[in-house]
Amino acid sequence: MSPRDPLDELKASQASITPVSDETRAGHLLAIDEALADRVVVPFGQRVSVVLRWAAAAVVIAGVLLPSAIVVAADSLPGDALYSVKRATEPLLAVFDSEVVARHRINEVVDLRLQDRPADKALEDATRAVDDLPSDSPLRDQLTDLSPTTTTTTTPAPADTDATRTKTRTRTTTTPQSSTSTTASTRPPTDRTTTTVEGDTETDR
Amino acid sequence: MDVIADELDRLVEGVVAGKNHAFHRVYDLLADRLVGFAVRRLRDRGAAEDAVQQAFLELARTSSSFRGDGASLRAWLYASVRFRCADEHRRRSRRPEQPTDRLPEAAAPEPMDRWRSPELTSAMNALTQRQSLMLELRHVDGLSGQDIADLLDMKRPATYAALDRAEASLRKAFTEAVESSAPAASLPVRKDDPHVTS
Repeated sequence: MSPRDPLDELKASQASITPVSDETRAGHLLAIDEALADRVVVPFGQRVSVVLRWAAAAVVIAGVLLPSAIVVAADSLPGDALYSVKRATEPLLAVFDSEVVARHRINEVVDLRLQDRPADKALEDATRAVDDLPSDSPLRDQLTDLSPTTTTTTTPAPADTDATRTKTRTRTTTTPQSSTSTTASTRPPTDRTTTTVEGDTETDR
Repeated sequence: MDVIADELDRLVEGVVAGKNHAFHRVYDLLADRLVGFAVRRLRDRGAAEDAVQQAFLELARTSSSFRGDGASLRAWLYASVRFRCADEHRRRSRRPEQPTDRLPEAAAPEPMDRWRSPELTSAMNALTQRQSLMLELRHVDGLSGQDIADLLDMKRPATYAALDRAEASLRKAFTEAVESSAPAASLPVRKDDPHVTS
């Protein structure tokens, strides 16, 4: 007697499948016919137009969001969420204004210091950016003023009286190695100061 | 040669176009096997037929976007029925038991259980659920390895390897079931066997 093969028995069990009854079959086919009648076939051209509509919507959204992000990012500082957007747009702006990158870096140093945030890295970036500029660029002087050895800024001075509190005073920032601030400048006086009034920075020569 | 897949190949175009006669022919080719497949999952003939109907209705609604050949169409229908069976299982597990005066239809043994030998039933029960599913799809429903791979979301080489392992496990379990079911007294014993003492 040949040994029994379970796979043969499994295949033979196909014969045991009970057929769908005529009544069930008729009901199923009727339901299928109704579903086919209700089916909305979208023509190819209409499908393409739907795709185009979505593409147009995406372009419009991108056209609004991207410029907005660029405008907002223009005031961002290192560490801000949109700072990378600002850096990404600079090569494009540099096509029209070769000093834009250096100007951004210098302004970032000023803004970071005004916010009492670390600016050493920003100053390094500013130095690198200014190194690429012509030797007669006025931005070099601005960078010199910001250098950690001696930076002279004019800020609203705390004074003894309320009347003098809104006046300005000259503050000298000494090198990081020196832990004390002095009221006297440690570098030769120059004919140029960076004056800060109510958050605005302007350079006077 | 897969005759059903070949005929399904010729019907796919009509199915995509939503032709009634193509749907009717696909139904006639596959409905019995799909119902059998669902019955094995659900142990309930009525629920199995509902699952198959829902699968065909879904195909009728969405076939305009179907891309593939006849084998793919068959695998798609099996997958659809399988998912509906899984949904039904989940529904049953959430549904609290209701007292009823009549016995549920599922209590009656299914024809396939009655037809299979006790040894084969025992051997199939010894396999994992996935192994028994693969073997039934391959040897009862006649699906190809590629179809099973698509249906179970597996790579084709892994599917063939798993099928080989399942078949080996089935043979081993079947042999054990046959040996354990054979009564020791009925084994032929030589009268001059020196180990046999009277």
